[in-house]
Amino acid sequence: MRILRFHKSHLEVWLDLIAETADLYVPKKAGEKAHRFERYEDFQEVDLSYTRTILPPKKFLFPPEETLFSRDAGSDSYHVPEIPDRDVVLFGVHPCDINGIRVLDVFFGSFDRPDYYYQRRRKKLRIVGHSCMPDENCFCQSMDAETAASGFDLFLNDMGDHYLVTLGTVEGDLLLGDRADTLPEATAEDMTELMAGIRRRREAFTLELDTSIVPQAVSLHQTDPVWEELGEKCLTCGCCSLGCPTCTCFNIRDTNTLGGSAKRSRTWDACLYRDFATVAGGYNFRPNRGRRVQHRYYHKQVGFAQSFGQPSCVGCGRCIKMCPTGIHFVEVFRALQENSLKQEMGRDA
Amino acid sequence: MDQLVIGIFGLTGCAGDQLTILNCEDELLLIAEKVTMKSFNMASSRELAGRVEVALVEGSVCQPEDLAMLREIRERSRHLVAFGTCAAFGGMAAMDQRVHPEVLRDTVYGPDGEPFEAIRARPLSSFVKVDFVLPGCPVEKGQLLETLSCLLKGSFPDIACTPVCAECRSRENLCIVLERDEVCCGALTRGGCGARCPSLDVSCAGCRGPVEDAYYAVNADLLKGRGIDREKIRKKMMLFSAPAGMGERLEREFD
Repeated sequence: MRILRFHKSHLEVWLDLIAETADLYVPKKAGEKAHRFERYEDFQEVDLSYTRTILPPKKFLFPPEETLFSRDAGSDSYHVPEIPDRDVVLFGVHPCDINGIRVLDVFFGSFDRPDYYYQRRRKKLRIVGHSCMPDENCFCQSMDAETAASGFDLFLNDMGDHYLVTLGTVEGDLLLGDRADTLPEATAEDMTELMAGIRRRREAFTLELDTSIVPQAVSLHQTDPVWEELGEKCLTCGCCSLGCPTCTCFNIRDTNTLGGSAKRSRTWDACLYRDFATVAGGYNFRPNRGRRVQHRYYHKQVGFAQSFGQPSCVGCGRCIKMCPTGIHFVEVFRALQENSLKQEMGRDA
Repeated sequence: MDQLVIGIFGLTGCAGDQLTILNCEDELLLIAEKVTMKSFNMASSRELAGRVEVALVEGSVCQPEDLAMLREIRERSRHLVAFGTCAAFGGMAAMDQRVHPEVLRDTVYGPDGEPFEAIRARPLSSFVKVDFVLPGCPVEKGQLLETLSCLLKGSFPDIACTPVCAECRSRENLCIVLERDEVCCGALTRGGCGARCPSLDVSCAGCRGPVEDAYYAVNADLLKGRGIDREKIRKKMMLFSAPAGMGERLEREFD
């Protein structure tokens, strides 16, 4: 793996160059404290010191609303809408989100038929990662997602006035252009400094989730009072799911117009919504809020892991940050563990 | 294709939903081509009696005349659609049911007003079977056209009942509650508007009516917990988000 030294003073010229041939998206400020990945227009707007964006990068691969196919009025055939031909470069993606995309890759690629709509966008996506420091809601370290071993084309390690750029793929090499040949290779001293930075970061985490017993805790405590309590606290606004880098549920709807055209589209959905579990005939198999909250936790930590070999959580902290009523993903598991401990002690006594 | 015969009726309300039909300027000719409209008072003084396939009924029941009219419409319609938030949930007329309707009437019209009997405002479903609900204040133009289009094919559209938050979050807006500690009815209110107001930095007033299982107590606790005045929360929620008759329950849940 090649690691190159890149001075930050060249960043603007480089971004301008990328934007000439690709659709470049960068983190920008949204209000005082929040950020969004938005199209690169002005270098001054780029804010690489962000912690997390409101929506994760999944919006580029699995948009909130997407037309799957449509039919023109009077036509007998359907057509799939085209997407822009240019590559999409996502610049400044943190390790948790890179790992989130890897979870999406597994989900949308694992079935007999990989998801066509996801795959065609994925093929065009280039990812330039960026190092970060955790805040009080980050627990990627507990989810084994604090570093990205792969899943990026380039990764920029912030070293103050310069970056140590890890080359992940040939496409990453191409993104650097001529620079790939002229930038100096990282020295032994650079590498020592890089390792020290990684250690400092590891020590900066304040939130921790003991994942060793999470699957058992969720599976064994399906009737735990925690779920009912959460049901009493949850607005079922769905913000935790919609903002989750690995939540993939969608609804499919057919619509038609007076003029005779028709289309099928899919939109983000969330298992917290009542309608989500309503089936033909109006029956709802999860009418209770607490059950819906429980289902979400169970699916992400157990159900998904059973099917795909890893939980669908990367510890980005968005669900904690975004929950209007302050439901805290990590504390839910702590409560489950505590209840489990109490039960054990009760039995021993 | 046979023309679909629909009737457009207004009970007590502002007629904003009827106006939405007329605002479909680009589609009006197409609508006229496929649909025969009976009793569309806002557009034509020609009243055609007889049966209709679909009745779009706007407004809430606020006087005995409304009720009589509603029953008569139900009699002669195959399908009855609650057209807009007033018809679906009671809307603004039903916002504060603690005040006696006669007091409301006298306050609004004064001693010189033409006398009429006022009853507590209620949505259509309190009196007759409603086949489909098209919410909104006014209804969304897109959803109205989709409904007409589906009716022509003999079905009702799949209108989302997910909260405004779903669309607000999908548009990557900042959460007004979390960022500004303001009352926002997004989590209580049916989406379908594309989170229009929050996207313009205005908190959701709840004009599309409540979601199927609106959690007033949780929402109230959340807002009270952020230091928002209880009366402010109550007022905003009662404006649209609470269906008729919710007033007293809201009072309890607020304490």
